[in-house]
Amino acid sequence: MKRAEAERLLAEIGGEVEVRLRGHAGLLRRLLGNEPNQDHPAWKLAAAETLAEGLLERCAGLLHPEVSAPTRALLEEAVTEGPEALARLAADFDERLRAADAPGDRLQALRARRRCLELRAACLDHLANIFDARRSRP
Amino acid sequence: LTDQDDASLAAQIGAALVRAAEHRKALVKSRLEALQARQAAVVGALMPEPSKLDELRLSVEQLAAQAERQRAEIADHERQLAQLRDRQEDLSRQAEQADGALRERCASLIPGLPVLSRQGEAQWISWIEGRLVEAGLAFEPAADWREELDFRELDEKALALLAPLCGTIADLEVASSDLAVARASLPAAIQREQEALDRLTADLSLRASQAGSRYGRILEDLPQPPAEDSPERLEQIEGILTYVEATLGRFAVSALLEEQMLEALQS
Repeated sequence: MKRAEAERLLAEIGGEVEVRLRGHAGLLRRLLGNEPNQDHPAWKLAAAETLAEGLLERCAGLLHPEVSAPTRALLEEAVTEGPEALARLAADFDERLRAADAPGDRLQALRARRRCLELRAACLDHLANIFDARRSRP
Repeated sequence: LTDQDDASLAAQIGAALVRAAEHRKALVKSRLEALQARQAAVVGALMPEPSKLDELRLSVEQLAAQAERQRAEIADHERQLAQLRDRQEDLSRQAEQADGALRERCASLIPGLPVLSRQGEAQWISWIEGRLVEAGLAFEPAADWREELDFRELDEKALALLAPLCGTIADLEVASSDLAVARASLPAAIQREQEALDRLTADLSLRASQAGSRYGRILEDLPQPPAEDSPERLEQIEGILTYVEATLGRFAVSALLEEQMLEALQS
């Protein structure tokens, strides 16, 4: 179990004392039974942990103060899940940004369409002038 | 009538009176008996018999004894209940203390957990290794990983993965940014633009119908904006129309000049 997950589980425990007792006892069992990762040498795990801790610390500084808590949590979650999760999150936010910019694209298209119609109107004006000039000729 | 007849009538009347008196006496007697019987019934109903009174007295005594026993039982139950309440409060205090201790124990263990998930550990290890290999370095144990990562600029490279994402997030979520302010004004701007476009379309349609076939196929051949909002196609159509408008403009100027010259020649 990772730290953020345990913190979330601890924060979620509430209600009547019996419910809390059961929740805390269950979490304690899980925490005590949490085995360290044996798939990698400890020094490699330490390297990855240090890198991630540094990223999480600097994350707060990188984000604008107005960014919401759920989004901060999403970003922190992605950091703890690795570079691929970060890339997925980036793609997700890019998609959201495209969706948010869609009205802007629509406005640009409407403006271009209006310019086309204005040009057609100007063409009509010119045609009227040309034909009027020819018609007035004796 | 004779005296004999009178005597007989008087005897008859006397006999009748005697019979009436006897009848009355009998009637009074029977009524009195009925009254007495009714009185006895009423008294019997109101006043139970002595044997029943004893039964009632016994029953009342039994009830009183039962009530006393129940009062004693209730008092006993109340004592037990008070004890149970005290016990419950004591247990609740103990449970709260135990819960607090469990929570503290959990909280004390959490900082010892890794920040990364198993998947995160594997991926970041692979990422660090990849960056070191790219730099021609080996991934080896280090005494202080914070210093090592800083020295190898790996923390900056990892941060570079985050920075664009943080920028995108800010573009999306920071309501006070210029982008957000501009985005908020878009619906109104779109509506205004659409209204202007609708007016222009109606005006052009009217003018085209008024012109009829006066300009031959020229109007029909003028390119129309596409139905879809493809920016490339719109730009292409706008380019063609710009060129045609400029050409027609030159023709119009030329026609005007020609007209002015003819007028000058004729005058």
